[in-house]
Amino acid sequence: MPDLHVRSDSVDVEQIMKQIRTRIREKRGSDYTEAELQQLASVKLEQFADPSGLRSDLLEQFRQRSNEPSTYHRHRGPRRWLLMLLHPLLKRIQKQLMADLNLYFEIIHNLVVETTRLGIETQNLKMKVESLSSRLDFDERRSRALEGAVQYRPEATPRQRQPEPPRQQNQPRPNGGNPRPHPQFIPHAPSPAPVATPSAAPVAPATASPVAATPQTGPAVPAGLGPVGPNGPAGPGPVGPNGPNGPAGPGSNVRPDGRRRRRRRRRRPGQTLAESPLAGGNQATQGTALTSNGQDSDDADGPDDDGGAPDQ
Amino acid sequence: MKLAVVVQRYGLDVNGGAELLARYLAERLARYADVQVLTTCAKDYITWRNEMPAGEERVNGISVRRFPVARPRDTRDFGRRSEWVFGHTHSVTDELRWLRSEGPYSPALVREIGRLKDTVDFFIFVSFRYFHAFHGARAVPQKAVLVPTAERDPAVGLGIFAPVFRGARAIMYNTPEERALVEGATRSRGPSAIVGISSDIPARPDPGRFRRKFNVHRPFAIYIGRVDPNKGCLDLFDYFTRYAAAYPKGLDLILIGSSQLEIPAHPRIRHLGFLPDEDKFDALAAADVLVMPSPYESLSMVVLEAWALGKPVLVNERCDVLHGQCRRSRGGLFYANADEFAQALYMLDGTGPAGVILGRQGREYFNQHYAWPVIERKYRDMFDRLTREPAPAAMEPLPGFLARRRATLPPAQSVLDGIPSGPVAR
Repeated sequence: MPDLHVRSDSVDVEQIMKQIRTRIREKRGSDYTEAELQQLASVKLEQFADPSGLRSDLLEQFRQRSNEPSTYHRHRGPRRWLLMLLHPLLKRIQKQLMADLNLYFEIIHNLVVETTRLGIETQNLKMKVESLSSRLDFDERRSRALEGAVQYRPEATPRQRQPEPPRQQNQPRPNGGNPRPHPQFIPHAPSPAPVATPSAAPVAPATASPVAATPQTGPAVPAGLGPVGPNGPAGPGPVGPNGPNGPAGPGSNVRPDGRRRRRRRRRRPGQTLAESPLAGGNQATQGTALTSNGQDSDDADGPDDDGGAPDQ
Repeated sequence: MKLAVVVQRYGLDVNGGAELLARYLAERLARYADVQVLTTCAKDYITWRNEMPAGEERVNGISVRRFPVARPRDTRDFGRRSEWVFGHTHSVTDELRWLRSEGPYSPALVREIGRLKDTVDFFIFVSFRYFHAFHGARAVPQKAVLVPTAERDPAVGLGIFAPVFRGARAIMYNTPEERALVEGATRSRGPSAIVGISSDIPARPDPGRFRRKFNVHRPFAIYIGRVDPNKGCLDLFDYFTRYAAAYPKGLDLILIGSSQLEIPAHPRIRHLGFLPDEDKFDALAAADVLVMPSPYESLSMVVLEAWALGKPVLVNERCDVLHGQCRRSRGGLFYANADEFAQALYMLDGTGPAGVILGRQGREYFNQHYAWPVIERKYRDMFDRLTREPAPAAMEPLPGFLARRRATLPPAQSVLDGIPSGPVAR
């Protein structure tokens, strides 16, 4: 899809065409001009086509043949005289033949150019297929890793659908006041005790990354799944300065009382999970995001130094 | 004021840009002057066969006098002569024979022009390259106003036309590119203006009616004109097929006009044939974009009609005139290959960001340069000027008997190649 920008009431046609052409160039790489194609066709056909079935010197041979002088002068005596006598007739025939030959020459020439073009295109497509297959392999590995990392809780769904008993007005919501439903999955490995408490439903808010809600004290995530921090492979959650098993740093989500505070920060539009500050990959955004007045942006729940345990 | 419009074919059912221009011009100028049309009995532009009766008739209130074509065109002879004068050094006689072979060879029409010399104030000759225009303008040089409708084809480079352009009283061009082309080929420096032509645009075209009548439900791009290889339609089919493969939910292509070639059987290409004006304008109003693939156009009225209806256009960049019109009007995009065609068409479809704005800019350009009041004013200003100013010296005569037969003229194609090309910015 063309990524073109039309923002004003008036449109500059030349600007649009420039954008279109730039985009095509970027998409296709540097294009061969017709002259370059001709040159490639005449130089090394073997580079682009299967050499076993084609002769790259075909054009040259054909050209030489069509330029060969008449053979009349080689003959002597009555044979030459006869040929001279028949010269007008032979000339006509030769003219016709030459016209045919010229036609064949042109056809062969065009075929060679087209073969070259196709050869180049085939090579491009081969590269494209290779690139796609490697990306596919990567995606498969990634999806397998993700499948191994999370498990769905089938019992959570029916329980959530049961009618809730009427609550007092001041009674806090089980999910900490967030009216939106939660994604019902938790890390695959043995979870810390608070997670297992059925009534608490201690999961991340719907808008937050589920991986980011993983307790700090939780199990290690398979290698390669989480982003790598300066202290080694990071799990899905924020990591303290001493690594995943060390005490929580100033930017971690572990409160002094051992509870993990919920992160309310939402992913920005267009931001992927990996880019999300909640994913724990970007050191600069791990719990150190400050507002303009120098306070933590998550100040709604107090300073951002609480533990990794979810809210009860 | 008495005016005579001289054109090769004329009639309500005659299609062709120059012929339509002549008809619109005659009908519009009839509001200010006594206008008659002088034309031939031909209807087919390839053979010039006499298909309409000779004599006078009225078409939309205009007096039309038809004269028979003395000899229909021998296409093989014309092809041979064209090849000779376009590609080889040749003589004036060769060119005059080419002109006669091209036709429409109607000496009666030329004689009538000479006879009306004293009664008509100005003769408007439409299309410079035909027999009637060349000999007619030579018969009445001081009253000849040429509307050349010149395209970038080798005929412009023929030597016999240069004195006609230099000796005509005035030249009314369609576009700046046409003026650059003609002045480059002929060094004409007489009075001239860039006028063009407008079109009778219906006030309220009904796109819904078109969709219902022809059972069209998807968004579409439209091509209006002869479906002909010379109009770039083969490239259009090729490029559109690739576009359709790349954008399965993109636009369809609807073709309107008589076809000279086989339309490819593609689920997203539909040919509706020749349609009356009402259907044509409804179709144009229903379309997202007009596509004009022709590499040779001197104006393209259908592009102007699209702009008048606020539709963007997509044109062939190889056509200097269309390319220049798009740049000046900012009313459309242009393409040089299949990739650009696909990307530009994607940009211009109704859901895209640019189509509506380009269409609006095109409409502004049309209103500014090609609306009927503008066209009429330019013609009237020119006639006033010619009436005031004294007529220049007579047209340069043809060379003598021997000089005419000397092969000294360069191939027309090489003359054309020497003329600078490209769109004119302003």
